Amino acid sequence: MALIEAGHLFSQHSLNTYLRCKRRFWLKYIAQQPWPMPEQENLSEYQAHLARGRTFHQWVARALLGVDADLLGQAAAACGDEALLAWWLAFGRFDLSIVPEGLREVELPLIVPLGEYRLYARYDLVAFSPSGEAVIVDWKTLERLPSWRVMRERVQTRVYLYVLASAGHIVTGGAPLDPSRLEMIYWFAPFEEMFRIPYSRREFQAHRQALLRLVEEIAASPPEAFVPTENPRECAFCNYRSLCGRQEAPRDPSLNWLDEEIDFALDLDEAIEMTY
Amino acid sequence: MAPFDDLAQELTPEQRRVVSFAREGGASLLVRGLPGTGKTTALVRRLAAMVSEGRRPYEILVLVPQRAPGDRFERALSVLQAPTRGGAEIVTFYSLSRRGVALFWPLVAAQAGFAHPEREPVFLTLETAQYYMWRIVEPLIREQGYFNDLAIPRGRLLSQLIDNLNKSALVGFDHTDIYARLRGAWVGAQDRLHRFWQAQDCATRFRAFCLEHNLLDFSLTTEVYCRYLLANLVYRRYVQARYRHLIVDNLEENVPVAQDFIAWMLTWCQSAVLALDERGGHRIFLGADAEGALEVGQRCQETLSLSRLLKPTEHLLAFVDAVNANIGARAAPAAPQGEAHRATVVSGGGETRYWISMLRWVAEQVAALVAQGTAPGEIALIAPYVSDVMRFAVEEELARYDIPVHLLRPATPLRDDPIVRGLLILLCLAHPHWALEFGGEPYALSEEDVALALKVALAGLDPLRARYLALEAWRGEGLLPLADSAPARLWERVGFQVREPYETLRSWLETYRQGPPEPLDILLSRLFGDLLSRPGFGFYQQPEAARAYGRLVESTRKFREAVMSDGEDPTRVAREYVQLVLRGVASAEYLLDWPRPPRPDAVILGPAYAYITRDMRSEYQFWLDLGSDGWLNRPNQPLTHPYVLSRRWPIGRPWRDVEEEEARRETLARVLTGLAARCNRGLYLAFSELGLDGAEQRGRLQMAIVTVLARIKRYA
Ligand code: SF4
Repeated sequence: MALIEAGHLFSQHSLNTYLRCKRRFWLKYIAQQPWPMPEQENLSEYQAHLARGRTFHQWVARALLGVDADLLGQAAAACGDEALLAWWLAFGRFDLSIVPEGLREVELPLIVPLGEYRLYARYDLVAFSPSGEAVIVDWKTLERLPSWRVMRERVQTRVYLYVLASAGHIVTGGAPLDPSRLEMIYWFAPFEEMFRIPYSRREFQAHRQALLRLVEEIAASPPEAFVPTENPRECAFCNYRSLCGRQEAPRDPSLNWLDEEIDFALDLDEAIEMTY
Repeated sequence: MAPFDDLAQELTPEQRRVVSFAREGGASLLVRGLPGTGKTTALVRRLAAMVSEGRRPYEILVLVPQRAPGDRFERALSVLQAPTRGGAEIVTFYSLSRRGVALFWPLVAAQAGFAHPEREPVFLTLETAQYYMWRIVEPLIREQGYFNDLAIPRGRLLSQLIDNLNKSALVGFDHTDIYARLRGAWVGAQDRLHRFWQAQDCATRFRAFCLEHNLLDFSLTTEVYCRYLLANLVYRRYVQARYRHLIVDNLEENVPVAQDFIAWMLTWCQSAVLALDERGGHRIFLGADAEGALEVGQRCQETLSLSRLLKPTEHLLAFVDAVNANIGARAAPAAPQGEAHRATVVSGGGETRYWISMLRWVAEQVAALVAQGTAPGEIALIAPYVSDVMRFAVEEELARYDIPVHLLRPATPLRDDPIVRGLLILLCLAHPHWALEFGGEPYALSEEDVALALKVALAGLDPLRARYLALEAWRGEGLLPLADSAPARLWERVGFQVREPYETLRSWLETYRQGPPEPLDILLSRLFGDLLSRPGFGFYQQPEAARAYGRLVESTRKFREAVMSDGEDPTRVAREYVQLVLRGVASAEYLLDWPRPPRPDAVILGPAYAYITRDMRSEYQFWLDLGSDGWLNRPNQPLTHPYVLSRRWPIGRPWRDVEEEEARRETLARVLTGLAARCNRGLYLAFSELGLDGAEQRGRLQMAIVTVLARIKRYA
């Protein structure tokens, strides 16, 4: 039986995980295997960082949805978390006028078909101008500032731009979007730094091919193909390391899974509910 | 392919009408019919059609009463070759409420009376809500004798107190009216009124506590959403800009405030199609309001009835109509066209005296059906409730024929999982000073407890050897060092390979005890990473066991997040958690814990209620234990009342035996009709003269069935 059935939902997280370690992809996204080993030595700090990232995203979403700025300011002032407050104040200085003023969608999930499968993206903010421009803004709370080049090559960048180019017209109700009029902005709250990444028709075509090839490769893989990564440095911050026998992996702080975990937690939150 | 049947099925003309029903102009349609007449399929196809048309699927809200039916909509979307918005629109009313309150919290927090509107809210799980309720109730029991004449387990006491609050929110009455409503309906002894007052007092205190600490349990989330957020202009504009089309499945299983929301949407949305199961309303214990559903449905501009049933189902329904008439239910026949004597009904009554022989007969019949080519997954064994004894007995009987069983059941309390229990005991061993108390009585660990903890933590221990090790390793406090002092034969009997892991575990716990205390989730994760997932320990290469471990870590984390204040000593919270779970409070369900879909190679075993509310269908059904009164009785809930705490029951109107009798009959009739409507071919009826407890069984349902069967026989 195929491990991955038609209609399977891929996301930037799952694809990125696959590219970094096939086994982790299998464990986390297919087997949904809990393995409650701490990702980092200081687990409390790690969890606090996750929680702070989620709260920050929530506050920004509220601001963009039109909740009274005074009310939000009071909450930020009372939060008692300096880092969170600093991010929030930094957000206050973010120049929103650089994104189009037309339709603005906050926390927008979009799904597009990709071959027999589906690809999912969840946008912090997408702004569309009536003339066909669209800008994605993604708020980042990473502890380290990566390079522009790294961000441009990220799976997230490709997936987000590709999904928007394919399905943005569903949101606007207008004509299909021209990829060359799309842009992705990463804004790093701790550094007040912004990376702007343009898009093009050529990249759209190339990404489509590459993403399709990738999901087809994953879907066609037999169970034994989901092997541990050859780069043991990936394992140092992976919770599966005692399952894989990789406890002694060399540590490289730039290779943690934190960013993925924050986004993953945001997605999961959507799905959690209580039966009553 | 089975999961996508909804998209593959040939539609009837009525179903096609549902699919093509207008998308614009405020059009609204009510679709009615018995279960199995294709309403959900029609709704799924309508959603798929709208999405395929590219009609801004972004704006379609699909409202379902619980998550399971929502999967059919999600699955259909998953195979469409059309860009769709993410699955977020297929929601329950609670998840809509919770998301709304979380996102727009600053808009309503002060108005709703929260003491710290500037702080983020904390949403409670069932576990944490029970914990806080317990903190309120426990001193009242201890110091003021609350509920002292009530002999019900703590978990059930708490769930009824919380249930009252939930009912008030879902029905939409003020939580301070619980007492007036319960008192007004009570016709029995006066001392019960006192208990109602105490229940009210607990609800009032609990609510005040939540408001003081920014805690939102299920009831308060729902109330804040309905009373404040839906009245807020910013939010109303957001909802109106966001959703333009409405699809509602199982309207009759939804709660009054959700029905109010639907009624509001009908006044402005572009299109709405609502589906209503006739004879539904099974979730009445969870606040479902079938009459209210009909009232909302009648606001639709058009109504369409779907009536096409499979012939065998129609005959089975006619059979059930006759049974229902015999027990005195008032409902009109569900299948007037059906012929009871043509129903495929096989009775095992008369021949079976003992309960176990009834199950043996059932297993024989199941095996015969499987031998004739029916897939086990197409067979359902249904009882009023499924005890562990029944489950084991059924599994054993069917194992003779190599047929596995898939059990339908709600979330298991954490402590029922031996792995979780073992880990909790291990935590007690790490904190020997804890002095646990259950119901005011000190709780001392036993050797069995310690043996279980050692068996879970160390690899290669069977219960006998774990017991032997526990005898030597534990003298009432923490684990003892055994390297030098153990009797010579200890490791011979227990196994030398256990020696080193045991010592490592013991010294790890010892080191932990000497360091600063840690929150439980962090302690458990470290213990797992440092030791238990490594060679020689219980979770080494044990992914299935790790699922239970993961469940416990998740539960402890949520508990800490909801309960621990900044700077607080984590051991107090840890102790409270362990006490709470060992006392058997249900665990909150979360994503990874959701029941997996039944396997096609396993016979389904479950309570009637779970089978119906998950909207299952089978080729053959076996109704078990028909002589049991469990079919007719409802759970004993001395502190709450599903009928009285509803919109249908005016304050002050007494609820007498005659109402109780009638409610039971009507509920049973609804259950039987709900079951028969979900059976494609044949029904097997299983009785025994003696029940599981050896007592004579002559339940009213059994009598009615026997009478109807005799009549049919004569007719045939
Ligand atoms: S420990 Fe290493 S090999 Fe194993 S799943 Fe994690 S990253 Fe992959």
